[in-house]
Formats: sequence, structure tokens, C-alpha cells
Amino acid sequence: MPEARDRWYPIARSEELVARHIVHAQLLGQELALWRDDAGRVNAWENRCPHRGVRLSLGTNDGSELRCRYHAWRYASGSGQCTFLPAHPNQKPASTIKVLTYQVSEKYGFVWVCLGDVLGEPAELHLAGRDITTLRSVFVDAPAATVAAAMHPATPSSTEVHWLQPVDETRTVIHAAVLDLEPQTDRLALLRRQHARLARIRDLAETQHRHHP
Amino acid sequence: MDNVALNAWYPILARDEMPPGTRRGTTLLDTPLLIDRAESGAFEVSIQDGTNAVRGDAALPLLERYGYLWTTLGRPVEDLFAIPEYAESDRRNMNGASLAVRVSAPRVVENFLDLGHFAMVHTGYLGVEPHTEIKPYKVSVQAHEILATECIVFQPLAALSAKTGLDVEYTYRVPHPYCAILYKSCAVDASRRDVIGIFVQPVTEVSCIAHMFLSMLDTENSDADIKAWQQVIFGQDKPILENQIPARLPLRPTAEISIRADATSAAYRRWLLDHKVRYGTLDA
Repeated sequence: MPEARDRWYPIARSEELVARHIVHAQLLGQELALWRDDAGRVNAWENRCPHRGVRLSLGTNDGSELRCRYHAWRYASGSGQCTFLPAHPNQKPASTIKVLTYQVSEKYGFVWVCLGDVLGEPAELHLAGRDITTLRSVFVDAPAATVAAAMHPATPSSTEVHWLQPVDETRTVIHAAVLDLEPQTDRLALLRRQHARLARIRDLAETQHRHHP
Repeated sequence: MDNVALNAWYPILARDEMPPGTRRGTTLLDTPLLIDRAESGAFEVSIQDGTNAVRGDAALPLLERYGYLWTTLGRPVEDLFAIPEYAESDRRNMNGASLAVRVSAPRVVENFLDLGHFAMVHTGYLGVEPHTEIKPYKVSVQAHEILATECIVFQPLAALSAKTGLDVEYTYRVPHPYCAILYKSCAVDASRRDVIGIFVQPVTEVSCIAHMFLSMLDTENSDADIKAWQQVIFGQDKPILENQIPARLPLRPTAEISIRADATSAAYRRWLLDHKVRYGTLDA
């Protein structure tokens, strides 16, 4: 579905992109390497070095550049432009040497990616001004449509929100958050209840997919 | 399947690793094979049918060369390539290991030919920072074989027989779509060279078995130590090979970026394209 690419999807919680780490993610079948530089800027790149096709998620995030595991080619945060070729250390790399980068945004406690083209930032208007507590994301071995069906007919809640990340044709991640958590809430108990709710949805969707793939 | 891949000789076994009086299976070019070794030591290889029995056809042609058993599913027009050093009386000839890799055979060959990864992947062994520069070297095609000469790398521990780091000169030879041979200046005798080969058995288009041929001039170390050292080196390459996308080698020149240091690999891709080798490649 080409139109499914021209929109934002959440693909990780902000807190997962820790310093000097590279997260290996996947959206609509496209593998991604996600990383944060030391200034806090997030990058969402095709998970493939343009040199010999090695997964960039195996490389090193040194805080300002990503180095490929194979030949240590270096790519600048933001542009994805290659800045250094160890085999030719005195040459400036040709400007054509560049990693494919995707539109990325960080909002509402999540990192969002658009594989195609979209204007502006993710706009979840009902979240404006709300306090957001993100939950642990749940990985489901079922297509997004099956997961969506498993979430019906849950009564809509004003304090629970969720989004679906289609990993590929048969796998989905459920990202969820709780809004406006009261300070005196037993936080742990609430998180456990919420996670159990998502786990039930996962089990329902996976059973449905297994029997009606 | 393309004619070049079909009519080539392929290694399927390190001969000494199969005892007489035994039978084992392997797969070559998506074809299950049965290898029988008689009590006398003689080998027979046949295509296996689904019931584990041998098909009614005649046994496949066989060669025993360089310590390996080679077979073919087609009709080779030429003999297998020659390695004269193998017959020298003071050579230590052995199979370093036969290791399965989840990537195409051409990707394994290209990694073997690659100089730029030594300091990063084989750190402390075949290369070390900041000696990462690859100076220009010579590549040519002679009598259907690719030859790369005057490849200079600084190596901290180039072979088990070396005692210090040295500037080492490499020559690479590609005499077969899925085999490559390296000649490197030897620490024991500067006028002669160690010979290291990678003879790849394509199992499927995206998986293979790499047989590591060694013909070394080493008067000190045991076979086990020489093999273990080669296995350390290859063990460092394997996780990278298994994370290359796509698994098949793309032959279109613009599919992946080559720099001057990649001259041998660029020649290898052109060679595969010119010979229309499709098994394990893309865009041939």
C-alpha cells in the first residue's frame, strides 16, 4: 500500500534511544537503524551501509557519527553524508556516498518515522497539554489489521491511548501510553494492569492469526 | 541455472575428515548429494532422492585435489585450476575448516578479496588502526583469472610464524567463480609465499560452506594451532557476512559503492557479469 508510507508511525519509545546505542527497528518491511547523537538529535536511517550492504545497526554510534562495522566508513548525524573513508584517509569522500535517511520526529514520548513524504510533525491533537506515561511496547506475531480487530470492541478510554506499528506483513508492535497519571497512583500496579491488557490483546491477535492466516 | 555455475567443479568435502566405511550427505547448488567412502578409501558421490536412497543414475564425476573431494553437476570443459605450490615437499597442506555461512558464495569470495576491513574486523591480527590506508595496487584479468598484485598492508601479526608486525605484500587470484587464492609474503622465507585459499561450496543461492585451504611454510606450529588461527580470523568475518543485505551479490555497478581500494572486488563483480554467473548474484 503506497499510501501507507506517507504518514507517521511510532517505532520506539524515546527512552529506548539511549546515548551511544543503535536500535534495530523495522517498519512496513523496511529495516531501520535508529540512533541519537550527543546533542539529542534522532536519526532514522535505512539499515544498510551503501558500501557493501552491512547492517548499520551492527556499527558504532560515537555521539556525532555512525561507523559501519565492516570498513568503519563514517556517516554524519542528520544528513547521513559519509565523512571519512579509512582506506583513503586523505581524501574527502564523494558527496554521493550517503546513507538513505527517513523523516523522523520525537513527540509524545515516542520516536516517529515516515518512510515516504509527510508535511509537519505527528499531530495527535487529543494529547496536547496532557501528561503522558509511555508503556512498554508489545510485539505481536500478527498483522496490524488482526491486532486492530483484537482491540475492538474495547470501550474507548480517555486515559489510554495506543498506536500500531506495522513491522511487516505478519508482525506488529503495539505502542501505548497512559494519560494524566495521578501522583498518588500505585504506579507499579497500574503498569502491570495495563501490560496485562496489552498482553491479552496480543494473545487474541496471535491466536486469530494462527488459525486464520 | 547458468552454464558457468552448472559446469564448474565444486569442493564438497575435506577428504581426511571422512573416515573410510562411512556415508554422509551434503547439498550443492540446491541438490542433495550422498557421499560414500568405501573401506578401501575410495569415494563415490551421487544425487540423493527424497528417500535417502541413491538415484539410479551413474555416480557423479569426482576429483581429489588439494586435500578436497570435488564434484560437478554438469560437464566441465576444463580441468580444475592448478596450485603448483601444493606439491612442494616442505609445505604444510591442510583444511583450515569447512564452515557454513548464511550468505551467498560470491559474498564470501568478495570478503576474502577485501583489504579494507583488516584493521576493523581482524584488529591486532591482520591490521591495526591507524594503518588503515590501502595504497593503489594492480588488477588484471589473464587467461580468465583475476589477478591482483602489489597489495601492501601493515600487519601486526600476519601469521603464526611472524614475531613482529610487518609490511606484507598480498597477491590475490580468482581462478573460479567461487574460489579465491591468496599468496602472502612469508615470515619464514622472504622469497616464498604462504598460500591460503577459500574454496566455496554453494549450498543454496543464499548459503554456502567455505572450505579454507592452507599451504603454509611454517616449521614451528602444529596443524591444530595453524587451523585454530585461521578459524579465529574467519570467525570474525562470519557475523559480518551474515548481515549483508542482499545476501546475493549485486552485480550492477551502481547497486553498491566501490572506492579505489575495492579494485579487486569491482573486477570480480565485472567478471561475474561478463561470464553471466547468475547463481548467488543479482542482475546478471
